[in-house]
Amino acid sequence: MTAFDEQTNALGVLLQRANAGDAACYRQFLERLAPLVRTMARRGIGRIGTPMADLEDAVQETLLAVHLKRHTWREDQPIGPWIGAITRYKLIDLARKYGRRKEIELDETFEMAAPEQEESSLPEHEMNRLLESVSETQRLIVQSISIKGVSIREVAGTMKMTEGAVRVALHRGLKALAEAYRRVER
Amino acid sequence: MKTSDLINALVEDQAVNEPLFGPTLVVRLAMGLAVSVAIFAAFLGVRADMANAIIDPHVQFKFIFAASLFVPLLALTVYGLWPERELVPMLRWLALPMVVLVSGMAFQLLTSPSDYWVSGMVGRYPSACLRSIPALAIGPLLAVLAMLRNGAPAQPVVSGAIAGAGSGGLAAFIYALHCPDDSALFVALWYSLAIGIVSVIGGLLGRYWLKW
Repeated sequence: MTAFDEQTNALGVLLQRANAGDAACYRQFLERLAPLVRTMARRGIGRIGTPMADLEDAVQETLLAVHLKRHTWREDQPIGPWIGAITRYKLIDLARKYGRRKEIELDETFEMAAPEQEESSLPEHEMNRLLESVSETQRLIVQSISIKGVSIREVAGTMKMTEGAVRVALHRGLKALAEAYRRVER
Repeated sequence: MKTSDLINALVEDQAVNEPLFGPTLVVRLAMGLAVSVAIFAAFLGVRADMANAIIDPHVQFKFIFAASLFVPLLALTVYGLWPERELVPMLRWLALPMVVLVSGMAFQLLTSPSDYWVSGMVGRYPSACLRSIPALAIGPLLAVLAMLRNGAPAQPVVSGAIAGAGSGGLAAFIYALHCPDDSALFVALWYSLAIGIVSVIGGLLGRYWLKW
């Protein structure tokens, strides 16, 4: 078994547990997935020849897509090709925004990928600007939970909403964010 | 927002996604089909001479052709729900309806006198065919597109066009219950054109509706 297989198998186990309701496993899944996607995206963007400034946005957009489409992973299938396909889909979309059409091969790059951490000094990402297009309640909720790391219960308290309503608004806010991403012109 | 911030939000969002194959899908498909049946009952109806006509292989051919189109194409639509699946190589399945169509045309040419070829091809009700098949296809097409929207098709336009052709084939199957034009040449021209129109509609809708 290669290092790649081990990495993706571990991801599959984590997502399986996450799907069964284990939030801690889901966090671990996303935290391990992000650096892999980053490496794939860096190579992909290198190949299509568009600005590397989009890298972290591409990573975030891919994570958002993985999140919103996680029910399309079949637990009896290897997770690597599924992740590769979603990343490729997002990079093709990025290439198209620059008016380029390129087939992007990622399989072997994924295999060789050494996980790459986010550069902490990176300035504002597109995401902040896109958040402006999301309705105010949803934006406040997404911002408090993501950037400030506040819990759903606390948000519900300060915003005088039920926890259920906060959950719904968070989900809709993330969907709206993914939608806004798709509409970005570059 | 840093990527680690985004992960905080994703972890907190525990909304369960709608499963690919669940009760919602069944309801949508039933509704889509109900729209077709309602349109058929209200405006078309089964041809009066159906009991006799169905014995005629030319009439049977219309059903066989329609089924040879919609069964593989709707199966392909489902196949493309997952992002790692590639649709384009699977388009070889289109050979099946092609072979059926060519066989039917050959049979028609062999079994009818040559002065009937052109009149049979033009038929009596070509415009009814062009209007009815897309109308009968709309309900199923919207249901199938909703299914795709919940999936992750890697090529939204291709998926939409395949869904359109599949729904058009299904509509052609229903329309064949009414259609008084029995020449295989009529089917080759007008059915194909009508199904092609639905396929283009599916591709266009896919472009706007199936991206994720």
